[in-house]
Amino acid sequence: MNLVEKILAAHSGKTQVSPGDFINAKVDLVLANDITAPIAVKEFKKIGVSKVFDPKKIVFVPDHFVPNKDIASAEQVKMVREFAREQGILFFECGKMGVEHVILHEQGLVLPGDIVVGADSHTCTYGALGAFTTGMGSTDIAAAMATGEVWMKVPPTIKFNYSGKLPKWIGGKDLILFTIGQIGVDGALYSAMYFCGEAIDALSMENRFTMSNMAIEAGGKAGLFRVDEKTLEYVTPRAKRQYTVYDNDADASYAKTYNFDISKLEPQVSLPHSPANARPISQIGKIKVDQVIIGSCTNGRLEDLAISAKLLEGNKVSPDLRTIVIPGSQQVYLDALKAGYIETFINAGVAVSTPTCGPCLGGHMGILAAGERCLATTNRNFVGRMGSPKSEVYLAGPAVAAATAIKGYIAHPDEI
Amino acid sequence: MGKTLAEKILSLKSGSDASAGDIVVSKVDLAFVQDTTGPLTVREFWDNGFTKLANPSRTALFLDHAAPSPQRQLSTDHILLRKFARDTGALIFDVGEGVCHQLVAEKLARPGDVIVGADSHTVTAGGLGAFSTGMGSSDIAVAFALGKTWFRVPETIKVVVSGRFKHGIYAKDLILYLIGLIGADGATYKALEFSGNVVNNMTIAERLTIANMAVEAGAKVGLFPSDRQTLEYLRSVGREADYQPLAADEDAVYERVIEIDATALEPMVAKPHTVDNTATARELKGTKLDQVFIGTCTGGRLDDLAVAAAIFKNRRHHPQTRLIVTPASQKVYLEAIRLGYIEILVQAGANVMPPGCGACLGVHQGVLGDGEVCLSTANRNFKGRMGNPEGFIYLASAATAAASAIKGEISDPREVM
Repeated sequence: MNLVEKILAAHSGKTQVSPGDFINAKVDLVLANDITAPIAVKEFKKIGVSKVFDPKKIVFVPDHFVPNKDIASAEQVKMVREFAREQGILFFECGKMGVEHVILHEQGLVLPGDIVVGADSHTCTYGALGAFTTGMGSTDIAAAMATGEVWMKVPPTIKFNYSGKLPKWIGGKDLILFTIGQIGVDGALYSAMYFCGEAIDALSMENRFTMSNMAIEAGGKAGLFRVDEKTLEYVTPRAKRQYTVYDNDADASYAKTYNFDISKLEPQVSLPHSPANARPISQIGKIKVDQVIIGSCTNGRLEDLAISAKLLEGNKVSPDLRTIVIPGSQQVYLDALKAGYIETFINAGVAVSTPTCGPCLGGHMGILAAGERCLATTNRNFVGRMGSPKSEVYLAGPAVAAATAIKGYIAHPDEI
Repeated sequence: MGKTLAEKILSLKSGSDASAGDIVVSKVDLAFVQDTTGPLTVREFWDNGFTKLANPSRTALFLDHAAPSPQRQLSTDHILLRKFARDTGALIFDVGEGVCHQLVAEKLARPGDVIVGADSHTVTAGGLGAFSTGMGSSDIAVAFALGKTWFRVPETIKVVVSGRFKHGIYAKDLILYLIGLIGADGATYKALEFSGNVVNNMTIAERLTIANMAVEAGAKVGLFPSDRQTLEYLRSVGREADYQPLAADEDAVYERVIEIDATALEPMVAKPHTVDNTATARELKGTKLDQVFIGTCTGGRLDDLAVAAAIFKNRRHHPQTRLIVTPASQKVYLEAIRLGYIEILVQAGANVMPPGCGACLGVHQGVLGDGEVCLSTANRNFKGRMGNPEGFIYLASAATAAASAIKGEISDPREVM
């Protein structure tokens, strides 16, 4: 069996599972946010049980419209907060709050070998830890909250093998944008994406989270990495419970294998209105933008801020655009503060926000007007994603984002 | 006959011998708008056939109320204002730079200036000895184009503050006390002129806080003399050349004199839903809070963050009380980082927002849910001010705010200081 099948078998009390099998799996953690939790809670109340299966295995993170942007969002969070208090569920209040897919692994709530289901499509982020984690609808999450189990069809696994040495400026974001560009937004539909190879071994954990995060943008059910020394180094100081490391058997099978040599890869940019519309930066021409966003569950971690701060140090953002930096969590904010990055950003003329999903999904903190263009380190550039359906979103990594902020047009970091 | 500060400035700027009650046409030294009033001003400007600003380098546009923008309509308003600035040469302060009144104080206001802004808290710059007042968007459009405006010279109420601020008492407590004393209409269309030994020793930050809330008693302006404190402040922001001393004449005529003994003041709180509905923090002890907000043109300056950080050091906010901190400007934010305040505040569990008006006026960044209670360092607690007519807002100093955030209920800051 491969890594995916092993995790699913172990959680469903089976010795063997194969793609296409239907299983009932025990979950290690159930997640919902301020948009999806209210629906899940309402559905939960219809089931007719009074208590959740295990309050310690449920987490609510209000992060999309928080600090509350309007009455409706305040009411949603209030309802979720009250339910969390009543049930004893872990609730990340404003102040502890960060982007859900930045704080869960940071706080050691997701560990290798886990199954995690979340009412948010980017729940796949934690696959970087060698866990099977996936997004589901609020109703499924309500059932998981009640029973501690979910049913699933075992997905086929597609192997992505990246050979070659990582070129300068190339990070997880470039690899995943390139990959989605190659296989399309439905290239891994209901499949598990398994990332491996020489280039992957060299990637930091933060870059791996970035890649797993965007598995869903290729339709993936999950996006996994095998556990190596870097994973254990990340997990060991954070883990407060036992976990199991699973690995592929030598004779594990895969539905398909892609081999990519990335030794000459350029920084990638996904043009509107699809993450699959990825291009090497040298081929996009000079595109002026009105806003740059550095943040989100894709690229709002310390390493992303470090790369951006290094480029912005001693520079000013272009007067023709605004730049908004949103650390992914309070810890990221604090670490960035201590490292001097926040000071660098403010000196460069950046608006630095408290952790929140903010503009990524058109919530707040940087909504686009008709005709405006934004270069963002986020994961989606669908029509209207960040505001007006007549606006445009371009996706890239933090180095391109910082270079763009300085230049005023989408720029290669070598230009700085 | 001697002149009050208001009469002095308006005489100078209108080239006449102006006394209370006179109608004068005055030169405008600075005219500005923000992102909620700016679009109206720009449209009035165009509708009146104006194309040129009288003084582009003394015309300013601030994107601070919805910054960064939470809505498409507001993003589109921002586009309009950016374009207007490009076309006319007006100064523009984009999202994240800070609250207009704080930026005006740091970068633009000079003692003796006449300043008009399309925002009621334009009175803030009175802390620097400027006749600075809020007006409607159409008045500002005219000031943009002509560089002048008309006023009825206001009568002046003199507020003499003697004694000293005791431990735990701040400028915010003084102005809340005064508004509670005279009422929300206690100084309607009057100038409030502050003097006395407490005033002489006040920092500009404190004066700005007091001047800022003059309008909450209905005042046209809240004026302070320009003195060594003013000089020191202007020097600290690199604008020493803008200094000129300014004081009311000894024999100026006042409509009324109010004397306040600062030594007797207690930490004050304004209760929902009016600013003059005041009580002491002690009397309100035990009022549970869902949110504490430290920020705004009233209570988001460096000294406010310093007081809050001193109280929060090695402490966290109460788990049932959210804490939002919004520095008033990038300068305040940067200095607060360098002095370690932001680190303490984040460790205390604060959400630190980019400089701007933030939660104060209910556009975003901390809107209350139905029935929720907030204690804020802002200047207004009207029904619905923070975005929800079913919410409840209490106003207090940064010290009271910090102490209350730790306890989860309104508390006297002296208990934790």
